[in-house]
Amino acid sequence: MRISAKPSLRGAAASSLESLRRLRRRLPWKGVKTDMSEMVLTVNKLKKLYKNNRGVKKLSLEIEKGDVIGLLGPNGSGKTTALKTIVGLCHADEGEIEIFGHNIDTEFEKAMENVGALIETPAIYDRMTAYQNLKMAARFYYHIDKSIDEDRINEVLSLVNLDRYSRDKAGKFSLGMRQRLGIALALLSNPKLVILDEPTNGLDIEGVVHIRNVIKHMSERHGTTFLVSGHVASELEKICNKVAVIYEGELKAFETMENVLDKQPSLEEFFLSVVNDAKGDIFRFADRGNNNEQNIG
Amino acid sequence: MNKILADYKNECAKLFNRKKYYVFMAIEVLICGIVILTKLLTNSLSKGAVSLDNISSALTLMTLFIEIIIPFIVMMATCEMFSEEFQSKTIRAVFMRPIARYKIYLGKYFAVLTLAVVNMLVVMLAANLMDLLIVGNLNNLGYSILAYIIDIIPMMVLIMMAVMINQLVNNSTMSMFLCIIIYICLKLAGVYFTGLSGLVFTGYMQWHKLWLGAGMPVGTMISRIALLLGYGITFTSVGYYIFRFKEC
Repeated sequence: MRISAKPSLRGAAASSLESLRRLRRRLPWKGVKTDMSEMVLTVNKLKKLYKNNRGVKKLSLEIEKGDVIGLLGPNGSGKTTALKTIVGLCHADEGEIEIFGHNIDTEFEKAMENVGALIETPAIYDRMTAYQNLKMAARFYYHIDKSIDEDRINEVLSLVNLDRYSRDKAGKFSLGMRQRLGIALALLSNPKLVILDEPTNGLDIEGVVHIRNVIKHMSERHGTTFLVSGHVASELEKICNKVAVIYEGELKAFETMENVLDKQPSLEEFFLSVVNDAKGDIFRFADRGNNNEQNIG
Repeated sequence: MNKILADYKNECAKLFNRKKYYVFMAIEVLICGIVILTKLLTNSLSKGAVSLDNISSALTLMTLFIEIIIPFIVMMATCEMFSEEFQSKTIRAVFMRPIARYKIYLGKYFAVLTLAVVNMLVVMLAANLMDLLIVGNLNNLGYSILAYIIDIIPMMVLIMMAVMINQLVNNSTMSMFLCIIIYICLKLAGVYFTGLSGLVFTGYMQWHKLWLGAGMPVGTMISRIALLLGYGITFTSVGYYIFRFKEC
């Protein structure tokens, strides 16, 4: 881990060590460089549990500009809950979320100004056409430097190969077309941070490759930061430069893809090793509990 | 303000994109036509013995429209704006945009209010125009215009109540059912419990009668205004509080 050393670290040894420890505590992973000025998203000790006790138990995450982060985890591991809380669809029980330095609870509008998101199924009005859906979303970006005109709407429609269907009602769209419209809605405002929850759901092979290329293009050309969740490791391996493994609501690993592939032949195997370690922890804990009970007995 | 306007435009676009609201307006015009034709028929059958020419159709129809039909349309629109959007999760299309929740709440509220005003306008214009064209007699035009304008105020409170009820459940059918049942109960409470008639806001749906009828003491008028204001503040506060923390 490369942590930008501050001059104060050379000062009084005790306080310096303490500040270094504090900084380390904020970084739950290893091998990722950190520069606060480039921070796009900061999730600090996020906790969001539903009544069935599922959700996110403890999640800390820091994402830098230009990263394409893959949030990998099995079904029900808390990926969608984490993303929903990040974009303000859910309210956190504990912890803080900052997007571009703005707190999601207290400065929602500023925090979301440069964010585009697609969470679970696309939020589309079936009675409206694809164009009308985008036009309605465009009205929220009225700033002169960001105002979205007809050209931009047509541009995103062609970006997701929906330009031919722009005047068709969204209710008549297939699952894949709806997904592509959802992605167009997320990319409409040229956001600096794009959050996509299983974006390739319902897409055919051609569509998957196309969306993958769009993500790569936007990341490389425009420096757009992506947070993409999924449970298909091979898919995330192709588009992400960093991966976060979430299991049972907790972040178990956060590594660059280079590190992952140094350690294991593929992301899938890395994921399995992390998950098996986590399961092992649980079993070990359970064993310890049993031993304690026996000792007490 | 710009964002409230943006959301208001979107909500209006969604509402006025639905054909059923145009069908309702067409039915309203049809009812106006039937009432005016009945008026003509009564005149001709009684050979002038019963003359209804001097009665304004716009005012005659107010009870039916202001107390029954338009509240029903307004409740339906409110359910579509709130509980149906939560149920179908299309509300996320707005929640994930850079707009605060109170602005969304206001945008939706004013869109439903616009629909109510448009319906009232359609009824008033249709009734007066038909009076002029068919009966050839336009009575109390100024009075009827003023009456419809004044009756927007209790309609605003009714929408606030419908919006609040919509925050309680995420199922649009259940919300609609609750809205109608509560409205009917309040109406009946005002009728059967005379002590409540002055306290229940649904008793003021035809508010113009207080303002334009026989002069009412200023003190009583102020207390009535305060009563409606109190209802409005309560409904909006409770409704927004639930809406603010709703998850989807």
